[in-house]
Amino acid sequence: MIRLLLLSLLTTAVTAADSTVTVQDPWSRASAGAARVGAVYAVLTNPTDAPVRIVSGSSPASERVELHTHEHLADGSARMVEVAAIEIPAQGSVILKPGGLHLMLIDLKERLVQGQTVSVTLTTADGATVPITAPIKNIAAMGACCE
Amino acid sequence: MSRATLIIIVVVIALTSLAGAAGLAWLTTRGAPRGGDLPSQPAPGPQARLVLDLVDHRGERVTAESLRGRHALFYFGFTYCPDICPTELGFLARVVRALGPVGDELPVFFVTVDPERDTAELLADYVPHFHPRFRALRGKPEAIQATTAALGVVAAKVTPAGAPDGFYLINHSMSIYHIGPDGHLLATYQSRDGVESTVAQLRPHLENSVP
Repeated sequence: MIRLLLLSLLTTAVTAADSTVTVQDPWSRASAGAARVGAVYAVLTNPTDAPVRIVSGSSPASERVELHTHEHLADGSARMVEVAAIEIPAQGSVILKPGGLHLMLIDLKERLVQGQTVSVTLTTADGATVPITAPIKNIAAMGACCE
Repeated sequence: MSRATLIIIVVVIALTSLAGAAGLAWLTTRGAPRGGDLPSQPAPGPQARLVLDLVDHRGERVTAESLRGRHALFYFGFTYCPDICPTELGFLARVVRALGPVGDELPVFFVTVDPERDTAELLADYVPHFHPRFRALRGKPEAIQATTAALGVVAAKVTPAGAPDGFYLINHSMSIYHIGPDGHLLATYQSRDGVESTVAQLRPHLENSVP
């Protein structure tokens, strides 16, 4: 009973801090063998009249979560670049997708297995949280954007 | 283009330029290439010629000589690459499927630029997910470097800030390299051109080739 009460308190607390940012089509890819990295994609929508900045992320599945994009260099190569924040414009959306902005899971604790889900919690500049539960798809999946 | 798309593009461009400065600092201070075994290479000349002596994920040796007389596609990457490599291999798989029968005999290779971590077992559990006919190639760093140098493929090891011990990523070329039957580089393809355009560039080469 006490545990239930605590749980409901905890849930209320988390809900109170939840951002108004909504998450559509979250997904991740199965990780390859012993690889310790993964990526999570989603469409983040901000229904409010003020821009929202996502400044960090965390996940029980990995030691770190970084906000990444790609930079294409003149020599035809690409490198991943960490971004300080992902800004979602007022009444707008940001698409996290393969080859573009994505959430990178660094130092995975366990392999990401197709058919399971991976949780990531994003934090906005004002401290609110955006919970994401991403179904893990096949390693070759491209997401709704590109299939 | 919708307003939302435009906003997203503007935001991405803004973030990218912001990240450009940060990224430069990141590269110079925290993620400078460690001058490892796979340094960057200059762009290839028009007569770039395949140098190859590697082993596929099933243990079969593949050389420039063994591919003589056939077209072949090469992509260079590593399995610890979380976003770009699966995206590019997925693209390549769609290109091969879209080619239809003319692509049935086309060898497609994923050459690891990370032989240290990409074991044959790991590669065998990786490439077939994209296409059952894709073959992964690995070998000694010098052998892989001989191939990347000949084709002008870039592969530079970087260590992100605060990364766990021994953790690194590899900045690398995203092109798909098309080697013709005579062993010369015939063309390179980019996923940003899309499946249809890439197939349109690739197909005439395959159809004109004498079996």
